[in-house]
Amino acid sequence: MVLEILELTKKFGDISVLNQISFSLAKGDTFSIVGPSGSGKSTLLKVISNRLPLTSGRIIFNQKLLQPVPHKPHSGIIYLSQEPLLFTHLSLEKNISFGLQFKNLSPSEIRNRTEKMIDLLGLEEVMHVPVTNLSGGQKQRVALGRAILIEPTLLLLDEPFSALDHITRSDAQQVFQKLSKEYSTSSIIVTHDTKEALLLGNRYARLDKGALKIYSSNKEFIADPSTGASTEIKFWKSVLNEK
Amino acid sequence: MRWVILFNFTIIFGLLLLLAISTQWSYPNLLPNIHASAKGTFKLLDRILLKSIYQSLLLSITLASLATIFGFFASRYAVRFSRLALLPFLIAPIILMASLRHFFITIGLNNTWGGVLIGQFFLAYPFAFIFLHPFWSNKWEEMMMTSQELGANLFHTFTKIIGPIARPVLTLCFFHTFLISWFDYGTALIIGAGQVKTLTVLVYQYVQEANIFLAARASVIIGIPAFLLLLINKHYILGKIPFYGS
Repeated sequence: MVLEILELTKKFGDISVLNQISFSLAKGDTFSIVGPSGSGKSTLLKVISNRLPLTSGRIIFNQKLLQPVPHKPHSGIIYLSQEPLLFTHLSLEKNISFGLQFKNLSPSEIRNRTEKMIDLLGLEEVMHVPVTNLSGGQKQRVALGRAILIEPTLLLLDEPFSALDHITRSDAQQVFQKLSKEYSTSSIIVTHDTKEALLLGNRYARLDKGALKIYSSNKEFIADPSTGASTEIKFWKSVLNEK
Repeated sequence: MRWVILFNFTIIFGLLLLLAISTQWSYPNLLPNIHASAKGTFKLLDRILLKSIYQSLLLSITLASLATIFGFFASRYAVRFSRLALLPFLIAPIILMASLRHFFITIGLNNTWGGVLIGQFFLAYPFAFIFLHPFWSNKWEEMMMTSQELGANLFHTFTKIIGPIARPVLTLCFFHTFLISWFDYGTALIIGAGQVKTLTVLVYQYVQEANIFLAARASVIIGIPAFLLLLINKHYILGKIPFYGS
């Protein structure tokens, strides 16, 4: 197992945001967690990535119990938020290759890997454009590529594509699927979009009011009315029937 | 209106410049006698004035460097003491220095260059702290975390990410703290007690001696860094400050 979460609880004052959550993640899994706004999705990822301290419970990562140190991220875990955070003083290429310089690789190896990643991301045409001038979708791709290139053990995606329009979003989702397969990355993706959760994940859960419900299959996920998947399918069926 | 202001400025600064490059002004001449050659103008900077320029520059650069570096890290790691930074602003600097003078005498720092440096640090460091505090917004915290998640250690995070992006803000802070020291009169006078002759102390001394040419020369020299820093600020720094305080 890459990750095991055991009875994780997070409270803000007296308010319990995450309540005794437990789940595990195997290598190569993409765990989709859906839930309405304020359900604790982002808090869960921030606790795992050590952006927020946990109140109680245990996080076992790569068979080791994590001992959180404030302001120090856990090695091997990368958190990506909705707003891509690029290093604005670096070029697109330097942004993508940033993590590789700490991996004892030769300059030619760094260059080769970076070029391959730029190619996979489909960013060759904008390679010389300053990162501040890139579109939202392109920025998100750079952030995604930069993260996956160092082959993290676990990638945490906090509604990464929600700020994008539907075409750019679809492109970014395809890029994520392609990279995820190529690099066998284990990921947890939280989203309020059931379609996105079904498209990107191979395991599914729903978080509501701090409680996590895990589904054994996508059929079970779709069948649960609380995920909204069945309602959406019914909606599209009715639209198609009317046409 | 603009022309009136410009005219007045030209008269004031023109006359100051004229006096700065002159050696005498005898009756009934309308204008003072001007040193025409560059070599002659350089000769006008006597030994005391040159020493004072060197002393002021060294003091201001040292202070600005210390205040900016300490302010930058303290505003990130010692925020719980942030209210203390406001303390020197509650009291007029000259009164603050007069109150602290006793301690400087006790520890043997009165009348010394180091004493003036420490005295000015009491004024410049809180400024740097307050100026740089908004820099550490959530976005910067997030940037530090991201850099470390990608494999950089804290040193690399500062040298490769935070340092380069913060450079315009740090430069601006350096300029301002440099000017705090450069224009400071009260600390240099009270703690320096006449032994540490910064340019501002020297101007006052020349004015007291009714030496208008030397006073004008020192005054023009005092104005040069402020003018240069204003130009540099405007053209190279202000537009480059990234999401400062966001």
